[in-house]
Amino acid sequence: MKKNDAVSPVVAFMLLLMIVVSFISVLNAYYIPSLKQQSEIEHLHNVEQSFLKISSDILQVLTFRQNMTMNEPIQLGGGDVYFSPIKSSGYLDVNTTVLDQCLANITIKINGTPINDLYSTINQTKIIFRPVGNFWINQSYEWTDGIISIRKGNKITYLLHTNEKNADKERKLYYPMLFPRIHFEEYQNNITSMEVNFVNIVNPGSNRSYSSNGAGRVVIDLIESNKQSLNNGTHITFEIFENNENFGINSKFKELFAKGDGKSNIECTINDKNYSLKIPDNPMVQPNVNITRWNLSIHT
Amino acid sequence: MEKDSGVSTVLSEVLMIALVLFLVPVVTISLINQLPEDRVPTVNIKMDVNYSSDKLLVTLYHKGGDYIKKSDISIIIRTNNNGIIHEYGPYHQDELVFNPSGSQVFDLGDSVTNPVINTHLDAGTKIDVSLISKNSVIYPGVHFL
Repeated sequence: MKKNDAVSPVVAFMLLLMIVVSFISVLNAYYIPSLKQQSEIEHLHNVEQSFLKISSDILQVLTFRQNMTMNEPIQLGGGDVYFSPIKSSGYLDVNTTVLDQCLANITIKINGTPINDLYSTINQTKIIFRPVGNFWINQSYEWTDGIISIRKGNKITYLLHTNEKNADKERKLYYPMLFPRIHFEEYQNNITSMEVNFVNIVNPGSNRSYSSNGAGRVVIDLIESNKQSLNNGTHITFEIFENNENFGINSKFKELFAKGDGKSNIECTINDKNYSLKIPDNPMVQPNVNITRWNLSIHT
Repeated sequence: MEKDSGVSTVLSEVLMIALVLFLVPVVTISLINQLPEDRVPTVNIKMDVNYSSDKLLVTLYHKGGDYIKKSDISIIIRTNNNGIIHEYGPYHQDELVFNPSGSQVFDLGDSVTNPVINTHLDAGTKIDVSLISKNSVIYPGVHFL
């Protein structure tokens, strides 16, 4: 008689093995990708938080207008879980040459001669995060002139605004932060002190972009790059170019120069988009006039 | 006497196979039941409530995250005007106004608005809005007039 006592335990063992293998397959095919998606959702949530902080940091730096550096970390890669430690990566880019032309430009001439490093260029600035090899959806984040947008393929929407009108309102709050600030102090129809502060947006150059699956960062620097004090008999001209007539620098200068009009120790004249200040050779009261340029550098 | 010593062995093997055949689906089903359910969509929603001339419109904007099938979406609006509670909806795909209207999914940048609710509400009325996908509330929103 043929002995086949072992058949049923082997069959039973094979069937149990099949259950275990099926379960592991389901884990690999369904559960782990789901965990990775969850981890990627958290990653993109962290990126969103970083963009909100960057936006607030830039406004803070521009408000204080003093030498300062803000450093905001961004988690570029994510989606790693215990069973599958492979991470996606991210690409970070700071672009100040989005438009062919700058939004505004101010050239400063002292006694008719342009001064090196004493000009201001305001460019449209974009900070972009793009996920690479992401385990969820390819959702990019963009910060453009004070507004955060989310992009997915061809679809784009503002993160915090429901329509273009609201976004435009916010943009119009951001731009004046970059405008020159002119502060007068006067006494008995004489200007005793005048401080002119310009912001110049610097091209990030070689620190423009960064790709990693680890940590990245966006650095926001505001550094005093040039300071000039004007002497008696000096004639200073601000030549303003605006890409869009309604940008607002010209109207701001007109408003400020009107304050200096009719003062005894300083002559303020407006000629189209050129604004001139002249300190006479021997003023009754010596005005203390300082012009400072601040370089705003946003880089990775 | 006839010898049938093999009967019990065969019988036990048949019983064991029967037991295994019974246990395999039972164990499989229990293991599969241990797996988590389908992930609920993760969507960022921004709500805008517009109330004028006794007309209430609630618009929900998709601000990132998963897309949702329009057929899975429903919206419930509940107003609490000084303790008087009214519930409107659930509104489904055929009643809701999607912008853009073309695609079958509610995705990034899209918006969805309820059909106009004609009601008189006082200042301070609490409006609760629930955006539901299948059986899960994926956005519970509140607004005070």
